[in-house]
Amino acid sequence: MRWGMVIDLKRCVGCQTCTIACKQEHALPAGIVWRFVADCEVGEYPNVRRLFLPMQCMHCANPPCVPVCPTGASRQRSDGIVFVDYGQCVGCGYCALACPYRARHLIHEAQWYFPGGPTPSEAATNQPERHGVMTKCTFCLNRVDAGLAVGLKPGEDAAATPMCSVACIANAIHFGDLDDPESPVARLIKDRGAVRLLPECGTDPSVYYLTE
Amino acid sequence: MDTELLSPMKQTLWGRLAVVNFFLGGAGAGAYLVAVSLAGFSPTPLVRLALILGPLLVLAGFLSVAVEAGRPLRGPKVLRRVETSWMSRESWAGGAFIALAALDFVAPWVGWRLAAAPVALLFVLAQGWVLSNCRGVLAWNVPILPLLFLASALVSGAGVLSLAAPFGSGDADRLPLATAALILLSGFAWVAYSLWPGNRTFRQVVGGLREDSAVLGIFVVGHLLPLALLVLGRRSPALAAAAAALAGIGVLSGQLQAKARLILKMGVLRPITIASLGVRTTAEIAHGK
Amino acid sequence: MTVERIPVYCYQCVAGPDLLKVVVRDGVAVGVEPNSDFAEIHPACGKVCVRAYGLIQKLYNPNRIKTPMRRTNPKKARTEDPGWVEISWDEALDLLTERLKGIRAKGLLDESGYPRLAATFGSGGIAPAYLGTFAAFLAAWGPVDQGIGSGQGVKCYHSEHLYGEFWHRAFTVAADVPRCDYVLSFGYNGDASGGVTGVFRHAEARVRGLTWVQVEPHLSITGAGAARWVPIRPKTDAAVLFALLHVILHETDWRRTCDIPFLESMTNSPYLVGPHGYYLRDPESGKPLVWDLDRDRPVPFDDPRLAHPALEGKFLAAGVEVGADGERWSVADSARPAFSLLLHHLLPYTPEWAEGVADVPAPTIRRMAREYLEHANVGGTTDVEGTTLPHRPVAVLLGKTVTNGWGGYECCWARTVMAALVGALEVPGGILGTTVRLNRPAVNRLDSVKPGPDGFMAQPLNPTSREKWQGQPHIRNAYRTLVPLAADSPWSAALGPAHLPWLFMDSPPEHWPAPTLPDVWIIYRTNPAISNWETGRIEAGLERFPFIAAFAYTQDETNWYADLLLPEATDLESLQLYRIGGTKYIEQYWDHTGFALRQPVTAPPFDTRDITDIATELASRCGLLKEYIGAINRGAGVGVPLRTEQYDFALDPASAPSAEVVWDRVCRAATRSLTGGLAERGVEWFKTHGAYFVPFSEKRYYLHTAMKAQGLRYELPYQERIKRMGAELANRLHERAITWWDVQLQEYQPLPAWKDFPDIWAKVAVKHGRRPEEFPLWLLTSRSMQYSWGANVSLPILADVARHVTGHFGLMLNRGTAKRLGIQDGDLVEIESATGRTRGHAILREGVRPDVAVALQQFGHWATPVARDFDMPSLNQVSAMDLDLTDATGSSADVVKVAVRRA
Repeated sequence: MRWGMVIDLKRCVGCQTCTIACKQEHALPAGIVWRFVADCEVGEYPNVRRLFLPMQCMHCANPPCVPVCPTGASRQRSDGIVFVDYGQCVGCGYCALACPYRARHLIHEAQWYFPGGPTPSEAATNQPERHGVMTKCTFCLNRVDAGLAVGLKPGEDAAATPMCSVACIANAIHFGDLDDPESPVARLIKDRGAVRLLPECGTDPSVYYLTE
Repeated sequence: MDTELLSPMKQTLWGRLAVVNFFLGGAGAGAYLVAVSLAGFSPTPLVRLALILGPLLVLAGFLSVAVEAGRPLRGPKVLRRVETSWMSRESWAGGAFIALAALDFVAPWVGWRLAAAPVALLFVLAQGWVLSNCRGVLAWNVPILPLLFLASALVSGAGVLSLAAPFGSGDADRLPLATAALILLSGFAWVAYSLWPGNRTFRQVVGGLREDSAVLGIFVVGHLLPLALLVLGRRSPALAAAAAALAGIGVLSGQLQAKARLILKMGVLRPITIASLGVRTTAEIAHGK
Repeated sequence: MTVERIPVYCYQCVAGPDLLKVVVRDGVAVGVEPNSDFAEIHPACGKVCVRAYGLIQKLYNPNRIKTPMRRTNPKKARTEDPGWVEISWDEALDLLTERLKGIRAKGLLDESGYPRLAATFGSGGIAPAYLGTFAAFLAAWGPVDQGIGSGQGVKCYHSEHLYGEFWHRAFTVAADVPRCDYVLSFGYNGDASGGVTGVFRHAEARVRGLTWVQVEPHLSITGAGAARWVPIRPKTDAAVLFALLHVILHETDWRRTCDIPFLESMTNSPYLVGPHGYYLRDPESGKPLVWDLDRDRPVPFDDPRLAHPALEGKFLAAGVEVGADGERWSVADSARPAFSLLLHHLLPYTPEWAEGVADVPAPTIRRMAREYLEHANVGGTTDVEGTTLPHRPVAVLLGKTVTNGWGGYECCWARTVMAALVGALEVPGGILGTTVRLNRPAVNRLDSVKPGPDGFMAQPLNPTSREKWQGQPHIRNAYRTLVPLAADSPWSAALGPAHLPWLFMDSPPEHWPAPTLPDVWIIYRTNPAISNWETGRIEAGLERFPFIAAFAYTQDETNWYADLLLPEATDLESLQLYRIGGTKYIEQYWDHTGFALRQPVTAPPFDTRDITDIATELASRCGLLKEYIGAINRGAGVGVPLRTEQYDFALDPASAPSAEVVWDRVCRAATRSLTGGLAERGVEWFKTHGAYFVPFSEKRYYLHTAMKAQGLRYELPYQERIKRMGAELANRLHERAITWWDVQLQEYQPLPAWKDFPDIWAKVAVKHGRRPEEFPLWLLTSRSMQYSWGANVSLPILADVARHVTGHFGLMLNRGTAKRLGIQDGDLVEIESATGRTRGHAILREGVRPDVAVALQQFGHWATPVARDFDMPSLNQVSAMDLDLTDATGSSADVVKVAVRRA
């Protein structure tokens, strides 16, 4: 079992619905995104290509962020999900610099969207345990675990699938078990020749991109 | 060919306080290493001086970087992952060095010194390894970093001692010579680093060491000038103490600038690239092919 | 902890409504999620876009107007603080009622014949989904001027709206993307503007293999997903479209490449045109004649024995031509089929000519034409729910600035003729209309197809005859007087020349009623001081309005000038049922149709009121309750009549119902009407289930079925009716000595010709005493999906995510151009036009033509919280509101010639 994602760049339009859905699902404070879609431009006028590249934690099989962590707060589960145990994190930032994908985000302190303090929804979803520590995409492990516990299939049942995938209006984000050759993600990788980012870093990412 | 999709960008997590840690830690441990090397582990005044200054500087570095962490009160937890994390190892080594030095101070014994020196050496190298394990930062993610840090630490230590020696005792006759040698070593290390092979972004970033301000601050003020001062001191003994102190200031200033540049300016996150992405579109149609 | 998931709809842009659920934890709304209950029914699996996720912040925004407020500073100016003081709802409604009663006492019309009450609703397509029963209040009131614009015309697909409905009941035009293989998109930015369903369809099609070629001056969001980008000089699209037609008709054997049966039987291609440019008609029946090749003589177009009408050639035929105002010519002369005139008309428009105009290489144009024909599948068919229909998987789409202002008519015409040539009009795979807004019934595009004159559809045109023309404008934008194509539906006021009230405020034209301001202007979800063209001029106008009652969400640039702020309950706080599904813009094609509910998800955090309750209260206080309830019972503003032969849920005109009661009745009537009386669901049912649907046949996407069933033809390519209409309108205006609309009258051409459209904008400089060379760049806008229409610029969470999309928050410039101008990325630059200047930070890109600058959306806020800190330039600050830039439909385009330099 190894959870992974296949992101179809041919579908993505950079609308940031995944970005905001993730922010809301995880109640991320102002200025913090665990994932976003980069608006990229390649080439020179008039031979230009514009491309939208969703960026997030790659949940690498060989994650550089985990061994460098001095406290053991950064860990990897047997299903491949890389996560941070907030209670153990000292907030040193080392893991974020070890990550070649810019996927880790230190939440310095409570940060509200409006100067007068939290709105009722911000107050209701505030998570002080995340202040001063490193945070990142969790592959929505709470959704995955809760779904599995009631017999749902992550990647197929919305309630057990990461919110970015559920929210994506272009159906560009596919989630599933990379180890299962019959899973939609494994089939997409096989059929459409997926690529991964920065293979030279030797990280073996679990997030694949379909470019053609 | 890989296509660059996201440009390199400066890291913002480690700032001036981290620079202070790398600089003071290196200088403190380096001072100790230089002192005990010159004194052959004897409790000379120079060693006594290093025994005080070394751990204090390392401790100050630790305190400084702790302030930068998100949860400073959880600081001791950084000792936990010694089996994988160079930051844990750095903390252990730094802590052990301070402890051993403290023991030596309270109850002088060559054994402490013999133990403290390799620990200080490990601490300096560990700081380099901390950086060289940052795969996100191209300029740090190179194997020469620990050696660079060692050279930097030693010359910084010599600088500290040169600056402090006039106020200590006169048993540091060999210090100017050693300092001069370490300046040469450091210069060699920084030049080697600046020539280290790497991809385009790495070359671009490290090329910053050839900017006028870097050349002036690091190589002229931090290396050439101290060297000249030391030569001057050698030729005019009356000026030796002042020249050594000034040389120490120059060395420290150079190494501080070098490390600050390495962390703050050259701490650039690697570009995000993707393989096999064609630039389709206009070319063919706009030119009617 | 209790967690509820409350279903509502989102209609923050016209590409909806879409369905969502609001997650409410212990009474606090904390999240939005797709409504997966309707994953099988909603065309995009029940998902909602980025804007919907801002709704939580929209609800709790501390910068909201939290209670009614009254202005205390009588001076109105940007520099004058309005001096707001909080008042109770009772006081607020008293204040408004007093003004309204004053109008009723004085008379509903003023001395110029204009309504004393005016109302403006933002983004015509959106307001009704949030307006509760307010439209019923206006219906009860009597004459209301709903034509004081807030940017209509210049901010919409204006020519497409008017000509699209005229030609094929297409208020907007969409490609039948799921069945289409090749799209030529001239600036159509559906991946940013097409909503969830648009994005979803496009993504599916790209993966399936649809080839999309994007022709536009800067590489947009949609251009990013295209197979190719063809940069084009702004406002020259018509030249390339004409050249495409030229290639098809003069460089290929059109008898082989085009859909001849379609042209012969479904268009006016064979209609003979006489020397005066009107159809040659049978003197007795008045029917247009065609040349029967079998019998070698002219016959009426609907002659049952006609098998082979001539499309080309010149024929000696006798008949009559009927021109403007009944003028008739008996003709015995050579006449030519309309198609033959088309061939002749297009002869000069070669790709080489177009290259010189549009900076698009001739070989590129030839390739596009060739690919279009290769994909057209002429003669092919497909099966739709058991019925065989033609399959023409090619489409030409047009973007906003292509379809409005000068050149809009030419582009819309050429695009629709492109479709007609290969039979790709209103058939699977081709271009389709989405909805009707000028025709009726509004809920069913196909039912609006009724036989009219000459074998075409009947058209609801504003009359231009001597007897019926409305010479006295009934509202300040005079759409009935000046724009025959704008028709006279409830939407027409917003589709006329909506800037004329502003334009004429200071300098009324000759022989025109004296300009007056409404005694009371009610504004709702609109901010013309930001969204109109030449916003500085709007502000100057706003200072003079005697009384503005603004339904207000936050302080903004328009309600800064208001006298009364009414904070109505917003998206997640009020109750309303709204029609959903079927076919609708921008690309909503459902296989279901029904109604969805919007409902309060939690106790309102501030002292706001449901607009239905406000409308009821106003009606009561103004003594209009009976008329108001009567209007609701007729279905005004609520989408469905409450009393028909099948059911009766009519409200009692004698008592004021609560919003809950009103919408309960509407829910019951809606479900009954949907099911032919079989099912009835009340508001409580809807609160739990969210929406009620019945199936909707995909065959109803295609007007072809209705046209075929009634034996009707598309009024293409020849525009005889438009030519006549223009001539009559010219007669009417000239009879009143009105000559200031003469340039607009030139648009009424039967076969539109290329004019130097870019030059129209370049000449603005000369008018203002400047030289055109001083303004070398074209400033354009482009859609921000994150912000458009959502009334959400004050939500910082949107800025938090929008910053990842290039263009937020600055001015996009070509990198080479910037280098030439000494501008670096991030530099503050000044943007100067002949009429204004503004500032912004440079964002350097390669995907922008060197002669173009792009400012996304429309910002430039100075009063709206959060947005006023964006430091974002707006095209509207430097555009010129000018009659010279106004086309015959009353619109202009979002283009301005500017100079950009380091500030």
